[in-house]
Amino acid sequence: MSRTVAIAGVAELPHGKTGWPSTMALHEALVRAALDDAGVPPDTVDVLLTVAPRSDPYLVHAVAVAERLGLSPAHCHSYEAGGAGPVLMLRAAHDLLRAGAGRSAVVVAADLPLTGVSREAYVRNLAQVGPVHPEFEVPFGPTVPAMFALVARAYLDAYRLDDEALAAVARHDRAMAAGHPNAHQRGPMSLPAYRDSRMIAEPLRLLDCAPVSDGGGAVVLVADQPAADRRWPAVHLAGSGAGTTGLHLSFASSLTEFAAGVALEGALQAAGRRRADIDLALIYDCFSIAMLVNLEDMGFAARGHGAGVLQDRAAGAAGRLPVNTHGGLLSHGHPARAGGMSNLVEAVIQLRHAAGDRQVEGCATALVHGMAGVFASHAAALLVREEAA
Amino acid sequence: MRHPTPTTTDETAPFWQGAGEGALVLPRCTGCGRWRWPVASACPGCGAPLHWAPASGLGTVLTFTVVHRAASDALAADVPYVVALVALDEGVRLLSNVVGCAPSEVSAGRRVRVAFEPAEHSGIMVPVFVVCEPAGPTRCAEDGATYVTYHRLEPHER
Ligand SMILES: [Zn+2]
Repeated sequence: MSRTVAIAGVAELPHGKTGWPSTMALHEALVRAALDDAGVPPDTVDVLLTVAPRSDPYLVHAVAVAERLGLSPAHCHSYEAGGAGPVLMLRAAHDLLRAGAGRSAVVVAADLPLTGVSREAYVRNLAQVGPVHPEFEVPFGPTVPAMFALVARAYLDAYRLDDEALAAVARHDRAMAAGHPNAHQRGPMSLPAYRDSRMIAEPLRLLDCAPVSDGGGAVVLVADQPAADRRWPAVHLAGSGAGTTGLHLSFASSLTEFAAGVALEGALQAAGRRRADIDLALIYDCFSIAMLVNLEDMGFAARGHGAGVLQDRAAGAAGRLPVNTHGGLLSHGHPARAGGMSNLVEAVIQLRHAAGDRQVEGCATALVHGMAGVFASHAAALLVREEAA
Repeated sequence: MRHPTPTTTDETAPFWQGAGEGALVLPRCTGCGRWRWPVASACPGCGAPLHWAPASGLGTVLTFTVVHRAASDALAADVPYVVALVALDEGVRLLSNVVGCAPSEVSAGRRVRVAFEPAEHSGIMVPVFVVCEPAGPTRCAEDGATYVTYHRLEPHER
């Protein structure tokens, strides 16, 4: 008899420049807050999954985090899956508990790229150890924004669009972030302000790029939690999927179509649900172009029409397809190796109907999407509110 | 441009040796004849061994970006520079730079040909591209191509 596993706790702290003394201190705070939120005693944690921050030299980061917390979970693993990591860790934790590996599980990802190393050093490090091939790409000086700009140029050329399509994404996310206390960038963004932001790699401007943020989040899953012990309506993982093309853009077979759709199809099939069942989509958008391509790959818009989903605030909390109600990576923040964690946290908060002013009315099914590299690898999870399970 | 030095391996020595001699040398299948990129030990299509052969060096810009914020301090003096994905006439793509012209002269569909520039410190020559004049070389005939083997992968190297 397989067990019932629910997401019972979440935690997130404000993104931005935070001043945490170490990544370990941040991990500890997030895990403790998520366990508190779930009402789960720390000594029931049998699974702990993490993503190692680049600055942390630990052999197995998850084991070091457990040590810091004074815990000895049997299953302690760190994931190397880029921005797809949070979704894949959620799935792994869920499957471990379902298979009887323990009582509760913690998934945590956090990083401090603004604290400790300079923003400049972080951005350059990313160009060297990020999704840029050390032999056949590095000699030509592509930054990570430049890699996404190659896709953006190809996309705008293919569908004869101008920068308004990109601006629609940046402005949508900013409008959403205004309603979230943990978001990094919350000031209003007009189209002229977008166009005044400096060019980074044409056609991408500064406001097409997610900010470098300190931050992260944690999620707690519990197996067979008695209803009386629950603090929140349970949220379940109904299904998940993944899709991968390749790590380097040099070798990509398409410049405008990648594998987000493969990931979503897998999740829909596993969950026995249809695209139309999705009440809220949390899309990985480290750059504005990522939102457009991913929305279209997932079938939420026709090719070249991704921006239409977002314009006129149609995709706000009351829109037809609410998207990134927390502001996305573009405005909620991009905490380096922990990118994508806030998508997961926002889904749980919305499914609890605890999102306040930004609440999606009657939210019962939420899509959480994560992406590694330059559209390289994708993961999608469908989370559902208890009564919809 | 002040190109960062590539992290090379013994496996790709023919590529860099060719570049040092002014030739763009790429893996080609000894079975089906298709050009393959990236480097592998066997053709992902037919499984036959690959060998290194000189390519025409001609291609077309698929997409490009003008970089305003450099990837390194060394490259900061070179902004704005053009990073492009070039579709070679042989059917594979290279990420590279388009040099020798104003960024505004670069567009998707522009014909380009290979040239070589030294990387910083190592002096390793790296393949970059320059725009062809409108009346310049046209697409090379795939079946008319001749090639010589620079380096044949020996069994123990596969
Ligand atoms: Zn072959």
